[in-house]
Amino acid sequence: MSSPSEAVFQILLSLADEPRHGLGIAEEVERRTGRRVRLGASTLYTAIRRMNADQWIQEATAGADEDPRRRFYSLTPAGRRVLEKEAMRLDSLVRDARGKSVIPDEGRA
Amino acid sequence: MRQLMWGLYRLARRILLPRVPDRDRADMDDLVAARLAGAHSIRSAAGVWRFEFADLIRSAWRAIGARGASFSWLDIKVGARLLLRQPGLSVVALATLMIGIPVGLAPIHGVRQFETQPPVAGGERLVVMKNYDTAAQNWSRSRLYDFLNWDDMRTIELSGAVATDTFNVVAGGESQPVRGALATATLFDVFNVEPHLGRGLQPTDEVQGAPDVVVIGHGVWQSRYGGDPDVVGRLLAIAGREHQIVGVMPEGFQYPSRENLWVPLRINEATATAGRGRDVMVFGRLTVDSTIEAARAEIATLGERTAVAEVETHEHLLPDVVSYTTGLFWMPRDGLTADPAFYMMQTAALAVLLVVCTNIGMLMLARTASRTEELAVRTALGASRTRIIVQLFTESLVLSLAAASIGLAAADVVVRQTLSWLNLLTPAWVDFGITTSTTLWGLGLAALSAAVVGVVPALKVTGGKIQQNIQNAAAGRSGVRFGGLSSMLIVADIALAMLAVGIVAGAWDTQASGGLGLDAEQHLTAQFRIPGSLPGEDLATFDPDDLAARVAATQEEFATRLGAEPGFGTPAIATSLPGWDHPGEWMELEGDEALADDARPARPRVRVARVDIRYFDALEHPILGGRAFSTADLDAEASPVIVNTRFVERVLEGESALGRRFRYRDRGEEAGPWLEIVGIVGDLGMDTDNPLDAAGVYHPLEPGAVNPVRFAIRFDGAVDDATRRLRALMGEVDSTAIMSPPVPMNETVNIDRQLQNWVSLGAMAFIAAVLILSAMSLYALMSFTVAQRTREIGIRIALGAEWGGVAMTVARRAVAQLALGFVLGVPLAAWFLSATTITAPRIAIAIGVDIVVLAIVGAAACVAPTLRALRVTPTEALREG
Repeated sequence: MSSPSEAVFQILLSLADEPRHGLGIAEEVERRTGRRVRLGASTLYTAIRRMNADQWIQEATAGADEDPRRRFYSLTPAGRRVLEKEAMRLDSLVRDARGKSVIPDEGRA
Repeated sequence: MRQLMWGLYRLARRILLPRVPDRDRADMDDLVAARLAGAHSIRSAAGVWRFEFADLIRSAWRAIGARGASFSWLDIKVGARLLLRQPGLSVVALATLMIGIPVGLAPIHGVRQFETQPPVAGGERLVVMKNYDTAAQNWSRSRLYDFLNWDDMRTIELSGAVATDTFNVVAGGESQPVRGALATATLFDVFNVEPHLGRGLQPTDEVQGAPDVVVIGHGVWQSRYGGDPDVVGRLLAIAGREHQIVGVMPEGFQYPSRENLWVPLRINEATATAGRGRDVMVFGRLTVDSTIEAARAEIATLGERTAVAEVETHEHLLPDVVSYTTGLFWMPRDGLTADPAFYMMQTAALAVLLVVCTNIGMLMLARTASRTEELAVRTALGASRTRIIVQLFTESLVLSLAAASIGLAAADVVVRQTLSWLNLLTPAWVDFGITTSTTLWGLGLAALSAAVVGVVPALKVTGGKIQQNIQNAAAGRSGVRFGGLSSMLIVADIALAMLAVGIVAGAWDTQASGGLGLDAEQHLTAQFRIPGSLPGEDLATFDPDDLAARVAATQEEFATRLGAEPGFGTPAIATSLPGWDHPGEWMELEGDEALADDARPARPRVRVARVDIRYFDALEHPILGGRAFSTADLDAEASPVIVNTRFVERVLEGESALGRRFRYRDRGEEAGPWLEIVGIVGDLGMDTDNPLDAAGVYHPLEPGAVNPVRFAIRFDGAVDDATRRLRALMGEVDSTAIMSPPVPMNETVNIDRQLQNWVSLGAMAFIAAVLILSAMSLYALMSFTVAQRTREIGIRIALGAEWGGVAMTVARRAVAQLALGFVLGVPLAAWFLSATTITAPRIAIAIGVDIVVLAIVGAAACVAPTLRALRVTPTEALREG
């Protein structure tokens, strides 16, 4: 399987700690990346639909105080595995780059 | 506006991502709506909209890719080959798209270029401070008093004031007008540009009594001093005053707009009083951490204080901060893109493109339908529907991209050429040529056009069942059915063609020409202007009445000196000269006041000029009846006017004119004062199109009432010699007066006509292309709908119907479609034409010709397929089922 696109990775990551709805995902990604990554509505929902079909995410029940019209999504075990695998792949890439002093060591950064 | 953006987004989403389930769609809508609602201004809402729109297109693109569709060079080759195989269709489609795409882009391109901020570091923080008059609902002038009030704002790190004008500059014994500025030294700091040589202006130069210094621009340095590196320290006479050159600015520095020299603006706080003095532009640069909103809030507080302190002059003035170019051009507060009029223009421009695309789309549909066999075979060989749609889209894309490229390249040449002709005073950094972003927009529009032109027909053609398509193909006919849509489109096409012919008739109407009523070759026209403020003068004490007195004195002296000069007549001074397009007014005669307000066409429209009391004498144009103007007329209460012979014929229908009274009155506006006719003169060109065919009115003009002063003068001998002597004489009378290059009267008229001819030629070419396109589209549609009835016709014949009877059935439907088209189109064309100056008989001819042409096209479209259908044998017709 090829590695997920950045949009997909960011969506998986934003669902890692708690279920969220579409707007919540977009806002969390924007906040966490300092607006470096902005997900457009079309990208977000086509990705969600595909991830849903691939069973990486699933619909979750909203909390009692949430707007009932919104659909919440949570990670499935398969989705979590994809996320972990991709995070580890990225981590090994970064370690390689550090080894070659392309970027400074974590301690000095 | 947000509603419009929202609607467009939803429409595009429905087209581009049709398979999104309803619940996802609702979620997406919520997200986009929340983002649009969260935008704090129209500009940032537009940013959100652009972002979401681009994202939508990217997603649609990925979705197409995921369905196994891809572009191939073969599609592009097939597209190019199809273009060549049907050259007639290709040329018409190419020509209309070539004009349609730049037309669709023109408003947004023009506005964006016009709003370009100066290309300097921190250019986006440059602002202009100005007063908004809440009573007059418009921007008001700023004076030095206002500048001093706003000089110490917390949100603005640097500010200054500048007044621009044209000055006579004498270098090397020759006097030439140069655009210059009286500026505070901060001008050079705000724009943050280092001088090429020497220094910029400094605060010490602004002190009253400091030596006169000037900083010159790169252009002056090159043209006057040949780029001499030792120019600093030399003397330059500006408006008759010697100034020492202290610096040379680098190429491209022409701020505030397109100035070429800068002298210090001296401010005397004692004389700077509210509401007095020459107007200045107050500019500044926002501090790095402030915003335009913060500056607006700050200046509003200052304004409240001034409104209380200076009730008489500032009660209705609300100071505001706007972006630099907005302020320079007195544009609406948030720029032209925030103006509803802009959106209306942009929508109209896109509507033109949509009409063009729909028509080409119809032709393509007919063409695509004739390829059913090829498409059915491709499907049978395994091509998916998406693959075929992409192929048809690529073919249209070849067409639309070719059209966009040629169209944009041509637009670039046309725009630059036209602007250099018009010699508009646009800022030095604004370039109306086609930019990269406009090209990208153009390519985007081309893709969108290709979608309308190619994808819609492709969806229609590939919509049927595969089995049926193959059967149809085997039977040699198309499976496409147009249904009620075809009738609607035929009717729309006829209406469009009617309108197009109407517009062509309008353009044709303006091609008339004629003489001016005098010997244009032996008259020079020019204008001179007395600058409102001169270097070294205190702008705060400037008084418009003083300027008017100076203009009047110069004008009188100039006329007297010319009178004594051999080979010259007397200058004929007027607000508009013979051969120019004089402004028009609607009027009503005394006794006709009862005409209803909406009866404007019933009221005559006349051309108007204000002329010096010796005007007709100077042009040797005799008074035919009544009397000429006299000095007493300048302050006469009765407002005497002189009318031309065409006025007597047209407006008074030949009745006696002298002593008759009339007044100006436009629809819905207050009537002007009564005017009394005291004299009649022969016609002198007052309308560029029909020089001797305009009813005209002349009012007496008081010396000094207008600045610049425009004049025409008769001369003997060679043009060059007369021009040189005229300039020299002007220099002797007033060395500060700026005179435009004198031009023989026949040339000014020609340039004007030439430009107008080009414009109408361009418009005619476009409309002719639209007309041909709608005629072709009409033909294609009608012949297609008839061809679809082949089987029905065959069966009727088999059942024993007469040929005549069958032909009648076909004709009945065609006639009904044509008639409905005419019923809708004729009033539309007539309504459009009645708003122009075209005469009723011409409107009738244009519409008549149009009906005949379209009826012939319609008949031709029916005859061939009907005959073909009649030749089909009943057995063949039945077998096809």
